[in-house]
Amino acid sequence: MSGAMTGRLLALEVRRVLRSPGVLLAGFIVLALAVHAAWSGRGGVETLNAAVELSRASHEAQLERLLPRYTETTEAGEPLYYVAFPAGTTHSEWAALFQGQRDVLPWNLQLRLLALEGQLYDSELGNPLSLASGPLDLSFILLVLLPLVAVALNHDLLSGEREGGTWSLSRLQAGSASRALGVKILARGGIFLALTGAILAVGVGVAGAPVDASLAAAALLVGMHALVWFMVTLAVALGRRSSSMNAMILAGLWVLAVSAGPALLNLVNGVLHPMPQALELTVLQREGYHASWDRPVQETMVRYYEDYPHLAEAEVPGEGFSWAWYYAMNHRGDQEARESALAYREGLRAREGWARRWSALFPPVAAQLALDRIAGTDLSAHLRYHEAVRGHHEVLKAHFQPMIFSAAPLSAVDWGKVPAFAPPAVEPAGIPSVYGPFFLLVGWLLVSLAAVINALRRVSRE
Amino acid sequence: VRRTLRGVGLVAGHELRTAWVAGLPVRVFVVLALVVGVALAGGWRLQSSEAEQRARYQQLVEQAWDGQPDRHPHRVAHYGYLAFRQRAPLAVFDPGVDSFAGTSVFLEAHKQNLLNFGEARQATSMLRFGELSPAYVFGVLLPLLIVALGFATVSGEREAGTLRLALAQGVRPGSFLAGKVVGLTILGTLTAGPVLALALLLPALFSPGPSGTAPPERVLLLAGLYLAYMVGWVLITVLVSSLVRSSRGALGALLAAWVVLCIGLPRVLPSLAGAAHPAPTRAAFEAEIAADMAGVGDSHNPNDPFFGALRQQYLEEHGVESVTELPVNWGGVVSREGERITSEIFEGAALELNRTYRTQDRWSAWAGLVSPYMALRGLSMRVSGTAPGSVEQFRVESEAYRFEVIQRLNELHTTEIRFQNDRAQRLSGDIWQRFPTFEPRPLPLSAALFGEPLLLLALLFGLVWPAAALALAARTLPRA
Repeated sequence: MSGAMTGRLLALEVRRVLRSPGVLLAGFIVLALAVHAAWSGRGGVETLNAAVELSRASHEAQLERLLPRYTETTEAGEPLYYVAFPAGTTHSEWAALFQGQRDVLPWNLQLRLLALEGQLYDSELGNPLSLASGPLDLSFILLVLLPLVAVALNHDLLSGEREGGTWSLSRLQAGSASRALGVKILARGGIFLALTGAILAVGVGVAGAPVDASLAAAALLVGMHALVWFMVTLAVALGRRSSSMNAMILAGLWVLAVSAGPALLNLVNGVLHPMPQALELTVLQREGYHASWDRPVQETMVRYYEDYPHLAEAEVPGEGFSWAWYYAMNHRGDQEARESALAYREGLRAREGWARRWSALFPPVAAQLALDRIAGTDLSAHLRYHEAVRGHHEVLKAHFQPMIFSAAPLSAVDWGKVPAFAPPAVEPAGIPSVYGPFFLLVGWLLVSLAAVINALRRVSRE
Repeated sequence: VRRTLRGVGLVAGHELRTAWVAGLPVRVFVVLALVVGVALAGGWRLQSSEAEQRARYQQLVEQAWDGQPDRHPHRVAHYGYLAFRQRAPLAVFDPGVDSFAGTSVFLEAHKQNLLNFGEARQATSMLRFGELSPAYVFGVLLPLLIVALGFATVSGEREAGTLRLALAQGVRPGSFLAGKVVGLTILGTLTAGPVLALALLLPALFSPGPSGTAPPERVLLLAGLYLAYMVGWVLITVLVSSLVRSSRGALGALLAAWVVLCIGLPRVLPSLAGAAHPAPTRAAFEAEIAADMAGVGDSHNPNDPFFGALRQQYLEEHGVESVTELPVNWGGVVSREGERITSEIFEGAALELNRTYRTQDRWSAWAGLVSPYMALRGLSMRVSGTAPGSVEQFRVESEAYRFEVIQRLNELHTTEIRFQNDRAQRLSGDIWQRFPTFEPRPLPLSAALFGEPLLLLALLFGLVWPAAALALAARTLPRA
C-alpha cells in the first residue's frame, strides 16, 4: 500500500477522533483550565513579588517613623531593636506555572537583630481550605488531567472496533492489522502530543515565561511524561478486554498514579521522618534567651565570645543593662536551639531526599518534583532560601556589632550602607536533579513501549 | 404496594446475586480495607507521636512559666507563653485542613503572632497530590468503586435484552429502578460499611493522643453522612446507567462526572474564589497594621495626643501635678492602654482576614450543590473538628488568653511596682503560678455543623435531585 493511501487513512482517522464530542469537549476544558491556571499563577507570582517590594518599602517607612523619636545621642542598639530588615526572594515566571510549595512556604521573611530561630519559621498567610484543596496550576493540568485524555483516546482503540464489529473492515481497508493499528495509534498520538504542546504553549504564553533552557527542560519532562501515559494506555487497550474493562483498569491506574500512590508515599515519608525538633527548637530558643536575664552578664558574654572571639576585647558593663548584653542574650537563645535547628534541617533534607528517590514509583510525582525544582518552588529551593536568610542574619549582625559593642550613637549608623539581602539563585535547568527524573521517565517509556510492541505482535498474529 | 415491594426485592436480590457470583463485592472490600488500613495505621502513628510531643512541650512550657524566678511583670509579658494546637481525635479519620494550619503560636505582649509550624511546610510538594486518609478513601475512591459496580446495572440488562424480559414479566419500571438502587446500596453498605465502621470506631474507642477519644455523636453523624453520600452516588450511577443507551457510554459519562465532581471542582473553585476575593500576603497584612498603629496612640511618644489626654485625666482625678505623684504606676497604665489599642487593631485585622477566607470558602460551599463530594468534604471536616473554623476558634481563644494574661501583668505593673526606679523592681516568683493555664475548647458540634447550613442542604440536594430524575427516567424505561 502506498504512502499516500496511509496518509489519507490517517487524515480520516484524525477527523473521526476529533468528531467525537467527548474528545473535543475534554480538549476544550483542559485548554480553558490551562489559560486560567497560567493566568492565576501569574497573578500569584506578581503578588508574591510585590510583597517583597512592599517589605522593602515598609522597612523604609518604619525607619521614617521610628528614627525621629530618638535623639542623635541615643545608643544605636535601642532603635535597632525594632528595625525589621527585608529578606524576601522573588519568583520567576516558571513559579507561576509549576507552583509546588510556593503558596505554603514563606519566601518573604523579615529579620530583626534578635534571636534568629524565633523569626525563621514565621509562616505566610493563606486560606487553609484553599491550600488543602491543592493548587490548580499548569503542572496539575499537564500531569494529572492530561493523562485522562490519553485514557479517553486510547481505551477503546481496538476493543471499540471489535465491539462495533468494524475491526475486520478496518483491517482489510488498511491492508493489515498492524497497519490499521498503526494508523489509529499515529492519529491519536499526534492529537495527544499536539494537545500537550498546546497546553504548554498556552501556559508559557499567558504566564509570559521566557524561551530558555528551563523551557527546554520542562518541555522534555512534560513531553516524556505524556508519552509514558500514551504508551501505558495503549498497552492496556491492545489487550483482549472490553472497552469498559479497559476504562476501569485505566481509571484505577490513574487514581493510583496521581492520587492514592503519592498520598501514600507522603504518609510513609512523614512516618519515617518525624519532625519533633520544630517544637523543641522553639522552646529551647525562648528559654535560652529569657534565662539569660537571670544569669550574670559575664556568663552570657563568655558564651557569646565563643562565636565572636574578635569582640572579646570590647568593654561590656559587668552589671546592669547594656545593648551588647541584650543582643548577646538573644544569641544565647540561638545557641541553645542550635542542635535542634540543625536536626530540623537534617530532617527536612531527609524528607526531601526520600521523596525524590521514591517518586520513581509514580511518573507524575517524578515529573512534578522535577518541574518544581526548575521553577524553584520546591522544598530544596526553600532550604536554600533559608540558608541565605541565615547568612544574611550573620551579615547584619557583623555590620552592627561594632556599633553596638562600642555603644555608638544613632548618628553613627549610615542606613544607606546596610547590606541588602542577596536571594539565592534558582538552580539553572539541566542539572542532574532534572536529568534524573527525565531518564527515569525514559525508563518508564521503554517498559511501556515494550509492552505495546509485544501486544501489537500478538494482535497482528490473530 | 406489596407487588411493588416484591418487585423491588426481586430486582435487588437478583442484583446482589449477580454481583456476588461475579466476585465483585469481595474485591471491592479488599481494596477498601487495604487502603483504609494503611491510611489508618500511618495516620494513627503520625497523630499519636505528634500529640505526645505537643502535650510534652505544652507541659514543659507550663512548668517553665510556673517556675519563673522573681521578675518584673513586663519581663514576664515579653517572656510570653507558647500554645500548641492539639489535633482533634477524629483528625485521624479526616485530617481536613489540619496540615495546612499552624500548630504553635507564641503569645507575648504588644503583638499577635501567627500560628507556625504547619505540617505542610515540613513536607515536599508531593503533599499537593492529596493526603491519604479514610475520609479521602470514602469521599473520592468509594464513588469510583460504586461506579465500577453499577455502571452496567440498567444499561447492561438493556443490552442483554433482560430488561425487556423483566418488564414484560410484570415488574414495574419504577420498582425495577428502585430495586437496582436498593441492591447497589446494600452491596455498597456490605463492602464499605465494615471498613467505615472500623475507621470510625477506632478513634471512638482508643485515643490517638491526649485529646481523648472521639465523641460518639460525632462518630454516628459521620457514619450517617458518608452513608448518605454513598446513596447519592448509587442514585447517580443508576440514573446514568438507565439514561445512556450503552454500558460503555454510561461508564464514560460516570467516569467523566467523577473526575469533574471529585477531582476537578474541588481545585477549580478555591482558585476562582481566590481570584475573585484576593486575600493579602503577610507583608501587606502587616503593612496595614503598621499604618493603623501609626495613626493611634503611641505610648513611647511623650507628646502623643491620646496618651497626653489620658495623663491629664489621671492627674486631675487624683489631684496631683505629675505622674510621679500618682498612687499607681503610670508606666503600667500606659502599657495597659497601649495593649488594649494594639490588640484591637490586630484583632480587627485578623477577623477581617478570616472574613475574606470565609467568603472564599463560600464558593466551595455553593459548589456543593453541584458536587456532592464538596458538600460531604465540608461537613466531614466540620464534624471531625478539622475545618478552618476549628483553627480560627483556636486562634481566637489563644488571643483571648494572651490578652487576659498580658493585661493581668500590666495590672501588676500598675499596682505592685513603684514608678520610681521601675525596671529594677521584681515581683515574687510564686505569683506566676496563680495565673490560669491555657485550656482551649474544641468548637462545639452544633456551631461547626450549622456554621454553614448550605452544606447540609447541598448534601440533601445531592440525594433529592438524582432520586427525582430517576423517577422521571422510570417513565422512559418501557420504551427501551
